[in-house]
Amino acid sequence: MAVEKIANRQLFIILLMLRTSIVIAFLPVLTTADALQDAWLAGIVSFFGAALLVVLIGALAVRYPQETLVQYSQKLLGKWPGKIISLIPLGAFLFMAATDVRIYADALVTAFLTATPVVFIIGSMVLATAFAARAGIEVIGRAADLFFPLFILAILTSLVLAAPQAWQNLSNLEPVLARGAGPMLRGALTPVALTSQFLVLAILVPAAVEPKRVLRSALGALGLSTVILALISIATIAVLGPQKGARSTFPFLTLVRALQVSEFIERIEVLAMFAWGFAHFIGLAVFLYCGAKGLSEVLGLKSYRVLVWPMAVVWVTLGAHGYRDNFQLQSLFQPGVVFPLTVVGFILLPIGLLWLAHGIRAFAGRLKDGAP
Amino acid sequence: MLPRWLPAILLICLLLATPGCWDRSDPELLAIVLAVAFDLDEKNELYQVIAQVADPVAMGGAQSGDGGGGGGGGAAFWTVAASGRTPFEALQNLAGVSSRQLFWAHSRVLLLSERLARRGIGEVLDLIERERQFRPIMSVVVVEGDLKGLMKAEFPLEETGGRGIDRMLITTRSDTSIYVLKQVSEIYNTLSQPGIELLVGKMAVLREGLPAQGGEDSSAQDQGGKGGSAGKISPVQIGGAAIFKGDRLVGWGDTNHARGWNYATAMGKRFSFVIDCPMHSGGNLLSIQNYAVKSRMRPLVSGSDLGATITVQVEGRLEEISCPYEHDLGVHGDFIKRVEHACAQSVRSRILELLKLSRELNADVLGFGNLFYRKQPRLWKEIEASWDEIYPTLDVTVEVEYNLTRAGMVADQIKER
Repeated sequence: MAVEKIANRQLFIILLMLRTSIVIAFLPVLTTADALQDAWLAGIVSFFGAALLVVLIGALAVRYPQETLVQYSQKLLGKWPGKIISLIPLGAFLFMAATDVRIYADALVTAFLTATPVVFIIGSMVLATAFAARAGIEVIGRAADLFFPLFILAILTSLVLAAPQAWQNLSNLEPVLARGAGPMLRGALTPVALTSQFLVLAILVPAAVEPKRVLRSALGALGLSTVILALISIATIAVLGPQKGARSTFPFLTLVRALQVSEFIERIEVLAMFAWGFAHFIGLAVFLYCGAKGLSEVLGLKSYRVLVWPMAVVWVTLGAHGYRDNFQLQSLFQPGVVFPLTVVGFILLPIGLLWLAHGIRAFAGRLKDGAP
Repeated sequence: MLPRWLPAILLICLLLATPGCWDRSDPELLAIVLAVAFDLDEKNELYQVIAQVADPVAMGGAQSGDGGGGGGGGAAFWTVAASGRTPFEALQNLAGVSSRQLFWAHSRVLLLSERLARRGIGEVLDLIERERQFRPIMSVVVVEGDLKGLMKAEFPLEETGGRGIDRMLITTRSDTSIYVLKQVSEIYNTLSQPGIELLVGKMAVLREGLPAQGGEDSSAQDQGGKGGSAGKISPVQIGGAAIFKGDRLVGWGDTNHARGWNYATAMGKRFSFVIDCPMHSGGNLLSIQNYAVKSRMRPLVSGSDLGATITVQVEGRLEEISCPYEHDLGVHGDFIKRVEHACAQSVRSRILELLKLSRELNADVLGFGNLFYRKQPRLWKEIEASWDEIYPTLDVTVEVEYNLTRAGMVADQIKER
């Protein structure tokens, strides 16, 4: 069977949509800490922390351009320890996907379909993404190509329509950093923590046409999503005001609801939901694909496809029952909870261990070469 | 491997679910709310909600009707009210008196009674913010007088009362700025910002024979004459401002105060006013319309003395010269300069009037405190607690630059011979 390949451009789009969907969902810079009017700065600052983690994940993956994390972790740590360690990112995919889909479903239930059972929305979304995941990464990549212009258009349109109102109320962004850098940095923690999404790189690198240049695509995606994050934060804070934005469950949705472009153009929240839906679909499909792909390699299966449906079922269950209510979901994203979990647990622990093994092996290899 | 047609079938099944069957609510079974009002029943300590609902039966009748609705056919809307201990309970109790489920998303105006506003609008606002159906783009109005009467009233030219109120707000905003248009989302922001108090537009319900409160230029119109042939009389007089302290109404401002606010914040679009002709005083009038306003507020701190400057730049044009004498509109004459000076005085006095009222009520509606908070956050931390004592004596300078740019289609007025 031929190896499936995606262009680096497609990888860039996938990562961008993955990252931006969280931003659209609940604008963590604003809602998770007390950054208030400095949230947009928190968004910019978060780039640096996130970039560090992306480099950490990506640079290692790029050293093994033909292998996934499951394969090179076995090479580095030995067969069984490698398999066990690689279960951590695979579990993280499932966890993040379940959380993502639950947020989306919660937003729909809160704002649009109040009587629909959450499990139904989650189920429909997962069903659609499971088809995509079974079809393979090439298909996901092409879907990303297709959705990207619509996604950008929807976001740009909301921003452009928000611009006049935002421009009038730029004073809501003042005072800048009046309470010192503390609140701003706290606001940056959760976005940095959510960099754990970029763990998909460790599975996707061998699928890229130019594995060596993957890091550029990843950082590019992070950069562009940071720009979107900063712009959306500015628009939200300016139009809604810092406190109202921070109190909102779904600030971007509230922002577009509050827009009245003219007497006739109003109620444009459909744009926000569209953008979110597209990004969400791509993100979930990638998570499911990576999870199944990785697990099939751990188990030594020939094809990951048999795993997609069972995993989808587990995932629906986890999405629907993993969180009792919206309050639990929100408390998960408090920096104190999510930061140790994702940064230490999902990224530093497995990737750090692998880097250590990589370093030791490289050092040992040099010693061997250097030895007479 | 699944058969290839199975995914296709499943996807089509998904399509069936996209309209959201669980939430199926057919439009013909909904009662579309056009305007929503909250009042307080002081005797029983209950919130009262009044909803004006579109009546499709009457609307259809009016359209196919017997030519211009000469007959006394009923209004195209229905007004319904209910009470409850909380605003939401009141809303729920409406179900007991309505045959259809009320649908709130199309309500464009939120009316609050004076009684309720004096008690505090926080609870109502929380409901509006939380409930998904209410739009943050609803316009907010504080109503002086009989709120329920207003909700039942018919408006000339408009099919429904809610539409009438909404149109009135929009027309006033673009034409005269005697009213302060605020949307719900702006109100949340103002309430949550330090050092600024809320100012919301006002409507007064007219009883027959009640003289409307006059502004500087007695904008009170006598409505269509005394029972003129037009018949219908507008039930409401728009203009003025409700001044809040926190979420409680503390006082009313008239149209001049509303204009002052619109000048100082550059929020209004067009303003018109009348001045005495500066060359030939004594009842000779000039009409002026402003069309561009810019304003800037700056804090002034020197030692322990606090002050602030409002700089307003206005551009206007001559709309009418009712002064019978000849005027030199050239750049060398000083007519234009003196008109500009008089206009600047007029603008300035509007702002000063608002300032005076807000000091009397000790409600910082122009947001000087917020200005310090934004520009001098450290200083604000020190003065925040005592801002209520500082504000009434804050040293405020109002500077107005007036620029008269054109005189319309002619220069001087007609010279009768």
